[in-house]
Amino acid sequence: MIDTKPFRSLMRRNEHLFVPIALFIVLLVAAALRSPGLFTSSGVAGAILVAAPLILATMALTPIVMAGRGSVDLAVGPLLGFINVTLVQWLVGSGWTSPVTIFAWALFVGAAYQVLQALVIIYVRVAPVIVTLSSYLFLTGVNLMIMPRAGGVVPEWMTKWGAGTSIISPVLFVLIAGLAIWFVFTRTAFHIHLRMTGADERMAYTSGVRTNWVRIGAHLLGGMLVGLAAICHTALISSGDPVQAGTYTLQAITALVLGGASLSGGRGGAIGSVLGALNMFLISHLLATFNFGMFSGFATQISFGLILIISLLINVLLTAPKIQAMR
Amino acid sequence: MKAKLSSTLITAGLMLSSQAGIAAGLDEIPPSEKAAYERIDPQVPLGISPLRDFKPKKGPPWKIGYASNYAGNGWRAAIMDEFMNKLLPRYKEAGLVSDFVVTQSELKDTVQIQQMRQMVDDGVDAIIICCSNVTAINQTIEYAYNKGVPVFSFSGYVTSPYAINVTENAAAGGYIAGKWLAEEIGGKGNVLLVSGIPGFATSDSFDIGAKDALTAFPDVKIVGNVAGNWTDQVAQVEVQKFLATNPQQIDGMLVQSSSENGVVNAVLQSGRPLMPIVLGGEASAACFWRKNPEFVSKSFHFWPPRADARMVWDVVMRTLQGQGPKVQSILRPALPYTIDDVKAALPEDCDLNSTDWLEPTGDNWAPSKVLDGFFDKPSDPLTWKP
Repeated sequence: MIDTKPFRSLMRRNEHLFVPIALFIVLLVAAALRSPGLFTSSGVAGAILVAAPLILATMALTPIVMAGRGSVDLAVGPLLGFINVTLVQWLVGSGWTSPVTIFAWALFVGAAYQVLQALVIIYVRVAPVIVTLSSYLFLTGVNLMIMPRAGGVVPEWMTKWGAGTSIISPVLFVLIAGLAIWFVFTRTAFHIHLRMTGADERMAYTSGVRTNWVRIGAHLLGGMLVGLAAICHTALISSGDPVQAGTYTLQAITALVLGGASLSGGRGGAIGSVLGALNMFLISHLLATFNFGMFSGFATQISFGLILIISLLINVLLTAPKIQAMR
Repeated sequence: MKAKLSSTLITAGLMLSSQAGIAAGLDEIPPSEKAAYERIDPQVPLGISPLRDFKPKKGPPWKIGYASNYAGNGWRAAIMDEFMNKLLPRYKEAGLVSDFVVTQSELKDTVQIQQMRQMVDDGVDAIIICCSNVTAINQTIEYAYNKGVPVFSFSGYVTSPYAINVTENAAAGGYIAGKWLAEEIGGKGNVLLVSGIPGFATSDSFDIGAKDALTAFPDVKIVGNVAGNWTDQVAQVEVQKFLATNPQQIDGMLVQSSSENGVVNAVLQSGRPLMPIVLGGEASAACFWRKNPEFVSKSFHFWPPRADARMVWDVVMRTLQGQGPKVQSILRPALPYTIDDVKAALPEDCDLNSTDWLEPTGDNWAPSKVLDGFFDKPSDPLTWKP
């Protein structure tokens, strides 16, 4: 007799991934039918190039949202933009263009800013959403001060990163590095502590989890991933831009929820976030294959919104009975 | 040291060759149109067009892609209507265009990049973009160029050396607007600057030009700057807020179209006497002017939507026909119009809430003869024979 217990427990633990996986498969099949170009080498290369910043930005939100207290980091977009404009304006502008410097700066700024936010949330005791919203506004303004208009150049070694003509590309390696960081993180006790803190902070605290440190750690990890997202974004647009990165906030939050993470904390992971971001990309790709003509502005938005609502609804319906049972 | 020296030499060489390229490009501009290139934003590429010897892979008929990045205002709606309901049927009938594919990216560059790459992979023959980010999609434009798909940017430029810009000279437009306003208020007074979207090229170019013009009028002071987002409703709220919190006298409003009607409404609501306001071409604000002829002495077409759409379409067709565009950027100057033009265009009982646009009459914006001067083998696109 085969023991199915471990399998069932694995299934139960990853129940939130059913909808994202199902949607992913449906979208892939639809894309194969409507836009075979996606499955060519340059199609996949383009997909990696375009989706990488969103995937990493969504992954960056994941540990922070997992830490609970409804802490969705609204500042993720402008922070990504801050790293982008400082890289181009300050570092490249001053001749500091070595890959080590660029990566170190991106990771450091991302992590440092996130830790700062964590400290405000913990010690000033302001609700995370207020802290990150303030950050959003603050950084949006700062970005425009540093770089009033789009422009500048990236370091020479990065100029070809945005070509997106071959699958095995530097952007893919950055993406893999982000996933590797996540993989290592899930092998640590910190991961369990984070999930405990997010699920029930008080209980985690009484069980001896140092919840403040966990929150700081979550932001630190998120910040490093924002740094990697900023590198990929900079490669994609091969320049600096003070306003564009702001659009990542909403996209990443949508991808996060689409990937099955719970905004109330405790539940989430890299697989869900990657799937969520990929699904966003595929929806957008698929919609572009329909020619809505005159109505394209509205039709694209409505279709995008409808797909999101339906998949979120299915997600809620699947998890709702469990929530009822838990009460 | 040696490496540094050689890199400096290479950079200097590149700069020289790019300067030479610009000079060669400027030489190719028809003499009658040189004025349109004055006060140009230094980022606008002015070299020789890389598409001078361009030959399409196939066709006619051609499949054209329009990677629009926004659809939320009347200006964009007018452009879309011109493309879909006027130009497309005419060129389909002439056997020149088979299909016109439209995508929307809602101001998200990454989505626009993805959509443009997709268009290239799905076999369009040319891509039109409007008012996009000046640098972010350059790699994508190069990707398209390498696959034989030319990209045309209208009403806004891109810095890519592989694209053709067909656009108004926004910095010169701002200069003309600033100069006119300063003179209109007697060379003295406080001005509120209502920008488009800060950080967007056209908005910044226009403001730079406007501020430049005001330096000649030391008694004209810019006492505030709000972002109207090229949207009436946004501009109305922003100007209302400014007027409510700044009791000082405002003698003029330097406004970027399309938000002038919102600004007019905000001033009327504030109860202040109406001051001169820069109008761009919104039929609603023009209607107000028609009903109050003393309001301003003249207005300008800075970026008339339908005329802009017709111009880029014309250039796309000519390029696909192998007529050989000479330069990277085809620029148009702002066109003044008077109350008589408004009276001719709008009835007395015009709609103050119209979402329509006042357009230059006939082909005044980009006359066929003028466009001919920008091509090596000019011919009217509709009567062209392969």
